[in-house]
Amino acid sequence: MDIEDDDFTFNNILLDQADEVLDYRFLTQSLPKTGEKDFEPDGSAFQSNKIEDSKELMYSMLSQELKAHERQVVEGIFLPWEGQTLIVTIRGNYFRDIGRNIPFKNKSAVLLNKIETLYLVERGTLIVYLGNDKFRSYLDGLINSFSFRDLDPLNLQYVYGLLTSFEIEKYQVFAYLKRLGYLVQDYRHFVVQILPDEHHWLSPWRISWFGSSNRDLLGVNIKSIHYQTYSQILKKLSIIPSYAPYESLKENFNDSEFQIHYNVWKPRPAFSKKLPPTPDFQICITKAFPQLHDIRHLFNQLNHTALNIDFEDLEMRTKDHKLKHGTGRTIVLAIINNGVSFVNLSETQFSLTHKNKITGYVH
Amino acid sequence: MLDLAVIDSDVLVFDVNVVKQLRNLGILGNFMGSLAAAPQQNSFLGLPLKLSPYEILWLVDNRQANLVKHKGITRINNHKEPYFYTQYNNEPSELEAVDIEVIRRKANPSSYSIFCQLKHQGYYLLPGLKFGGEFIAYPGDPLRYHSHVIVHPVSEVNFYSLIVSGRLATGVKKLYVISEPDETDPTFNITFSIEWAGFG
Repeated sequence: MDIEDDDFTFNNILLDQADEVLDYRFLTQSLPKTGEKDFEPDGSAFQSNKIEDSKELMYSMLSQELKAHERQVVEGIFLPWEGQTLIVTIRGNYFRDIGRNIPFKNKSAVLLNKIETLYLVERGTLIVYLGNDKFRSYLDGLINSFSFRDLDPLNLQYVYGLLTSFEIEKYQVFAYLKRLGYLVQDYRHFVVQILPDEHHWLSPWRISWFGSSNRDLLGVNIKSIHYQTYSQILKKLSIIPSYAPYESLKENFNDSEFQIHYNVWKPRPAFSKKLPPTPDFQICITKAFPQLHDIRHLFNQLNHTALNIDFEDLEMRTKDHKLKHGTGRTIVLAIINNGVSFVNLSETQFSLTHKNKITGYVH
Repeated sequence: MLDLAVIDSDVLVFDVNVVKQLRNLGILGNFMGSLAAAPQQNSFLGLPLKLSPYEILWLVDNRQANLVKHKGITRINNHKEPYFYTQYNNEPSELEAVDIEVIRRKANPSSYSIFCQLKHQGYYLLPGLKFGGEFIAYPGDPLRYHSHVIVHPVSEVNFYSLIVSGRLATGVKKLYVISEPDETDPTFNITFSIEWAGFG
């Protein structure tokens, strides 16, 4: 089985019941899908046999090993002094989003962090060895060659053991998203440029028309100012207060410990690791739901709106859609409660319009 | 007694036989690894099994498990088999005892108290965040039974959250139970269940 192929076949039967514990029976085609669980134990042998069957099935599923095709397996060396894994021979499709390419002995190599290393090890696609002094001499150029046979291979448990408790939680989120095929990178800041108003310049005769009027329109005195763009007039005419999301970016709330951890993209054919497009989702990993000032702090770290909005498409959307999903900044909270739950936080936009166009690039 | 290996302040179980023994004690944990049979989904996960602080405390306090830390490296010295890798190795290595206080700091005492009480009554407990509580309680192994109870320890009764949780519980066909350890005997919990009374 080619494990890089996306395999969503199970999702159909799982959608309804995702919140509760599932019987591993669902996974196998050979066993009858009873689907239904019981209300409570009735002491019958029938029920206890069913439980034993389910447990045995689960244990046998757990005992299976994840193996990658031999030609897809990559070898890497964990460098304890760097806390990273060096991969000299790059193979397969795993490094589209993860790892950092570095020049290495006139070639190119990849460095993985501990979480990325663990993900590939768990999938059986990476064999990782522990870098020793001899290998260090090779890196420093003191020796000309090395052999994997001089190094000790590490097992899965060891690689898990490299992580702190928080990194284990981070790994749970990372692996969850990677299993579903998302492209995941550590959060990087996007620098934003807010472009000046898109100038729909008023033609000269219109300026004079407004300028010469002495009337108050809806109580707004428009007589004594020169208006040069439509936006200026429309801003003045807006009598019910509202704001577009990026306009709420004000001071920083530095007393919050909440931060964004991952940039996430939907699967896409072309992806540049170095110059990625604007992320589709940005993930904050937390154990508790944030307070309002934490949320504002989070939004301030995302000092841009969702940049890849299709503005024409946006005009077509309904008001309800805009209020529900917002048209501005969105943060996904990954809440760890042993497992992972995802909550979407969007800034609702009551002004229902964008006054400025903005653009951004990754820093 | 089981030896459970601690990584930082978590317990991860890599051995399916230990998973079996824990399950027989009614300790479920939470799988967090990819399952070999279906690696690209998250509904069924595989080893390792991550235990919650309450499960760890219960195991240690009831003398079912010891916490240990592996010293040094556990190695598999087999260069021939290319797939040795994901084998979950139990090769004994030097062990070091771990202070349970590392775990106890992560647990809320009143949550632990109701956890122990329900565990003693034969319930299977899992984290209940998805249902707005501390735990959800199953009448038997969750592989076979639905849970009926959302449990949440409270120190004061807030009517606003009673309404919110009561409505939520009714919506997911469960009972919302609030609990508080008794002042005179902290191992005993006073519990109330919230249900919409359908007068009409």
